[in-house]
Amino acid sequence: MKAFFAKNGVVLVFALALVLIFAFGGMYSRYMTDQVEVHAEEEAKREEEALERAMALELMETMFPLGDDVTRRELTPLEIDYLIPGKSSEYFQPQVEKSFTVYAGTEPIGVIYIVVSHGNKPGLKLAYGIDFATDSILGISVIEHSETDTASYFQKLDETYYAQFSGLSFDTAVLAIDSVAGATYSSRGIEIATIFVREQYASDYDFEIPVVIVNLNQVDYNLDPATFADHPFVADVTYGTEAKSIECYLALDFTFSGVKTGVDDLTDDEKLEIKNQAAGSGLSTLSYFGSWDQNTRTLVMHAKGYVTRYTIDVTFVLNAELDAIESYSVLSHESYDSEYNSAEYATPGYSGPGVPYVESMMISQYRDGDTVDSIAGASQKTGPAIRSLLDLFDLFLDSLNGGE
Amino acid sequence: MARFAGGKAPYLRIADDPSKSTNALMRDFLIGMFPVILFAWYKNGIQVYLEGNIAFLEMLYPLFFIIIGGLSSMLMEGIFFYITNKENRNVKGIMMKLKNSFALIPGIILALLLPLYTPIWVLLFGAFMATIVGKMLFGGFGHNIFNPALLGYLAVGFTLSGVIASAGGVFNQSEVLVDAYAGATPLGTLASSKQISYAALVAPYGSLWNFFLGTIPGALGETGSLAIIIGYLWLSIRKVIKWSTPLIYVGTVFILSWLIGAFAGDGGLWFPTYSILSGGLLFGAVFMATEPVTTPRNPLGKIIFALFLGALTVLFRFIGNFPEGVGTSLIVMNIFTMPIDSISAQIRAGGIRKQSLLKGIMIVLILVAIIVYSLIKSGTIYSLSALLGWFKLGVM
Repeated sequence: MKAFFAKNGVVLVFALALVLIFAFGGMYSRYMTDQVEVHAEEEAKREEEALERAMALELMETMFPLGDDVTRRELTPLEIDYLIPGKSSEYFQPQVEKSFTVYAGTEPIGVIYIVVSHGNKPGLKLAYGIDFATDSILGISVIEHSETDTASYFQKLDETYYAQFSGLSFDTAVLAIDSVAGATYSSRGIEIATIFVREQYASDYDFEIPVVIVNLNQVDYNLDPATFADHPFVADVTYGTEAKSIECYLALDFTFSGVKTGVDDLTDDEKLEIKNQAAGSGLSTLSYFGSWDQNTRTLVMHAKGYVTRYTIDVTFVLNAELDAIESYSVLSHESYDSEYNSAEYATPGYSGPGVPYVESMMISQYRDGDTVDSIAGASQKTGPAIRSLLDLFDLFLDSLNGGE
Repeated sequence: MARFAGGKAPYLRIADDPSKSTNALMRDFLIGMFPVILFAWYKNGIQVYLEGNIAFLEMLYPLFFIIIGGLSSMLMEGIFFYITNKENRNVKGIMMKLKNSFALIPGIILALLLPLYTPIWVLLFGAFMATIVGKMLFGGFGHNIFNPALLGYLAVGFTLSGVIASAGGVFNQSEVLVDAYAGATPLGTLASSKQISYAALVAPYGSLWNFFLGTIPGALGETGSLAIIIGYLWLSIRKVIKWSTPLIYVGTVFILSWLIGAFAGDGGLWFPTYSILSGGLLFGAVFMATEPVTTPRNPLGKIIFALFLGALTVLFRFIGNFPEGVGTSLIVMNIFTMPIDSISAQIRAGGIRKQSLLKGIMIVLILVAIIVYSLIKSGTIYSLSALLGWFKLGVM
């Protein structure tokens, strides 16, 4: 062995050194190459942070006249489910993506939250500036959205709409935010974002949200022909520290609209809370009753389809037993693909413009006891509206026949 | 005549003076490379670390890379000695051979020619090609035809440039942050843009002062023009290299580049200055065009060699696949070292006679042909009408 090493020791050492260079040098150069990617990611992060900061500074200038600097801050994790606007059983969780503390000199004076909500579509990103001194919103700004950005929809949320947020105090039990007709889902998405931001603010800064005690025991469609036209919903509510009870009516947007039984001594906050809770109940607002004539057995109903300017008006004449449709007519302004516009689909008794193929088909299916199918080309708006109308009609028939 | 052309080089100029021995010569050569090595480390390691763009371990890598280049070259040569010399395999014998063979130098030069993010296995491959194929298979130190480091560099360049690029390439971590570089070295920009424009070729990299200092993207050792010039001065003063060879080489490139710039409508000195400070020209001129084994040995031969190098470098920069032309022109001229030495030795020893005159004229004609062809091929960057205009004016 000694002789072997004496003879071959040099070459073994050289070979070993080369192998070590290959192995450890290779690891070193692999580390260097890996670091290239690491540095690229770090740089991308730095650039993103710089962009974030620039955006935060821009928002600060808009919302905080006294602010002169911002710093990124950590968030308290918060998960709250909200009903997706326009849906009756699908929920989403708003997310505060980032938040920045705003400084005047060294004094923190407020916070900016960047929150992502859900309007008509997901990805409605908004910025909120909140003043520490007053616990109120100084301003909001839409950063990005995927809403239908036309004159008919999202653009209806104009300066007047956004102005209501300026000065909106969190120190009130129920945030009173007006929605905008024609941009209902978008404005509901913003309302949810505002409610969620207050929750986030409360978690981050130990802010106590004033409480109103309202228990919505039940809310349902109002099937009473005497009142259902003006008050589509009826709610059973317990409220206040004394647990008072009231049965009240709600309008189509779930606003308190009258008392059915009990005494109306509800505060505005309590009424708003009833509205908020009822809005999350999943009851459909796509259809509602118009009138009922007992003598002629005629029921008029309305549904909100694709065309927002007009409702779909359906008139049912019930049979003598009041348990089935004797005849019906539809007044509709909906329009569909050309294949549905031929005369063969026109329904006898139809009197409006356009051809109510979808409406007729679905009502016929219902009348004949068939499954009410979705119809291609009307699956998003008109179909659900008619389906809602038929569900409501079904409830009305049941109510006429003792619930059967 | 044989004493000029056929002997083993480098010659011992004053054999009885230890300070002028081959060992001293090579020691001085290594010292001459020190400023370049230090600058390469500073620019790609220390400076980037100080700017906060890399970690400490990354800062050490350029120096490690250069040392590994030299070490692997030496180890491979040692193993080669062991395998080929069965009679003398003891430590002392092999170490003596390595010392006399200056085994470190090809690996160090190779490392300086490669980009920072060259994987180590690629460096080892290059060192193998340089040391074993380029040097030892030709008979070892003094017998090789091609510059060993250059052979290794070209082998890597032709076969593994994609690997180097995907491993990180030539840009250090401060340079990748400069948007203006747009992922290209100065010569890369010229090759892709085909425009002689200060705004396109120089401005993205700052100014020509940056080119002089070496703070531009490039392989480890090629950008440090100032460091290379310091090395050049040291080597010239120590008489390790012939001072005129790099000057003639670089001067030829300067003049031809000025002509090309003038034809393109910009007769300013910035373009020739850019041309000599870009790529590996200065490094090649100082450390490879002066290499005693693979370049002509007599003064006239060195001049001819340098002139051809200059002309070919410009030519390859405009017709080659790569932006750089120094490596290819050096390897080509290595082939002609012997005939150049022979002809120039004849002229030097015997004066201009009929036979040598013909050969001299042939050399001049070939040189002129290369220059003219270079100017024509560089027409990709200037309009033919401009060239014709110069002819019409009688300038050419």
